[in-house]
Amino acid sequence: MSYPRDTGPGDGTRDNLLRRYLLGQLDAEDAAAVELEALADGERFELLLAAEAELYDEHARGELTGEDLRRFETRLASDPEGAARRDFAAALARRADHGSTAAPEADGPAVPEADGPAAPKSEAPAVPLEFPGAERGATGRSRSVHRGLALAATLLLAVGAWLGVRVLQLDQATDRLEAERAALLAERAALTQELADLKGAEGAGTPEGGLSEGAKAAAPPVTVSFLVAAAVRGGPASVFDIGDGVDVVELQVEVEGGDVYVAFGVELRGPRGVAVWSSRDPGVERGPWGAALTAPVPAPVFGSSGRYRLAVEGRRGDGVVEEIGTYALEIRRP
Amino acid sequence: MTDSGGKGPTAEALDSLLAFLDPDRRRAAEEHERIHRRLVNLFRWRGCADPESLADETMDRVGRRLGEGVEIHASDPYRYFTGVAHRVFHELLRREARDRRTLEGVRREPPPEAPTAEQERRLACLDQCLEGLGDESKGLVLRFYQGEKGERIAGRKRLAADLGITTNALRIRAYRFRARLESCVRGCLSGGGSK
Repeated sequence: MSYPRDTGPGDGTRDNLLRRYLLGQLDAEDAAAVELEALADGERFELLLAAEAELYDEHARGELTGEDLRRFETRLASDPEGAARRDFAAALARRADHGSTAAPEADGPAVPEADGPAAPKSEAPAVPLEFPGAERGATGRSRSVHRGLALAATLLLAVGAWLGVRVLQLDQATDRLEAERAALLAERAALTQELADLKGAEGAGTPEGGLSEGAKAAAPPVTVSFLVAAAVRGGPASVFDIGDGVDVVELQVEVEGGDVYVAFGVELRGPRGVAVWSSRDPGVERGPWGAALTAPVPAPVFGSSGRYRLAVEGRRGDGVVEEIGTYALEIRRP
Repeated sequence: MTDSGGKGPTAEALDSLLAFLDPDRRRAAEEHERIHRRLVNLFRWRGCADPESLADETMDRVGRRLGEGVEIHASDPYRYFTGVAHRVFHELLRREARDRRTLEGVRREPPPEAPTAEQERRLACLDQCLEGLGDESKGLVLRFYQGEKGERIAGRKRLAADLGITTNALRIRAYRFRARLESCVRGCLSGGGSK
């Protein structure tokens, strides 16, 4: 991943990367890396949310210009939700700069560290602050205490009611799913029995076919599926564990721009660089972005732990075969 | 590799997904919710008009694959989710292309700014909600979002130093307060507060 020069208003290169992601300025692989981090790491996810909020602030202050402004307006602020956030950012900027509310001095009391954990996580279901409403204008410590107690009571009642309704909904959903599950399991049992009967009949009709062979044939292969497509370019190999009892390792690869090829081939090279498996007929799913390939590799091919490489080549319409790329896999066997 | 698009999740698929996420069903449901929420945002940031349904589709597909007996590499499950989300997104692009519309084209021009009266009402709501934060939190929010570009960056560094935390920790903390404020202001506006 190439990190851009820090030209944004954030605190460093990392901030600028997040800004560029939000404005749709990263290439597909860097964007995928940012998304993977955001999905796997709550802090990264919140930093993206914070970076998005800061873009709204910059827009409110007229600090976004040119291509950044165009992208912001078409990607983030173009729907009613975005418009509401934009208007909120404008109000917040105005209040922060020219606040009519009693803002503390710039070097006022520091917020204690304990305040952090007590603050609700932005990923938790949002519990809105109650706004003071009719009690606005009340002054004095006792009014404040009463107002605080009233707010807390209201909040507790609201949360309690919400939880009650939610529990009821979940109970109903669980009942429905349990009923569906029971019906599907019954259907599966019937089909499994039917399949076993058919296999048994087939086995009995062949010289080598016994009951045990028939039953063995009915068992579906155990398949593990690895998506290699999201691997970060230039980064470490994707690490995959292949447990005992696995029959097939399904490798999935996405080839951007692969629509120019009429056929594909894949070759798996072992830790010593020697080809250990290949296919001229991987599964192909095509789309305007390119092609997605599926290579079902028998698990015994991965005989030992180590670094494997999957080489992908494509044949163009004019017959020319090109190597498209290789994908590194770190395989771990028990 | 082909996913059976369009089918909803079966109970077995949902069971498989939850069991994959965590052996404890309650924790699994929380993790399911957390991943779904993040996927919604990822699709939104990609400019998708209906991120909720795309996140649903992603979760359903992973569940169906698990229900079919496919094992997913357990030490890095998120890579599998992002991979499936990537494919769901590309399929959306394909549908859009078929409709001769690009995703950018679907997006509308930004709505006009709110009228002045509404802006004033929003400000009044914001003031009320700021009061509800308490003095220290309010001070943090106002300091964090104060000033023009260069001044703002310098101010944040000073604020982080004052609090003895990193700038990133400060950003997350300020963002959490901001999210609460934003939610409060919406409630105030929709509930008729500050008329």
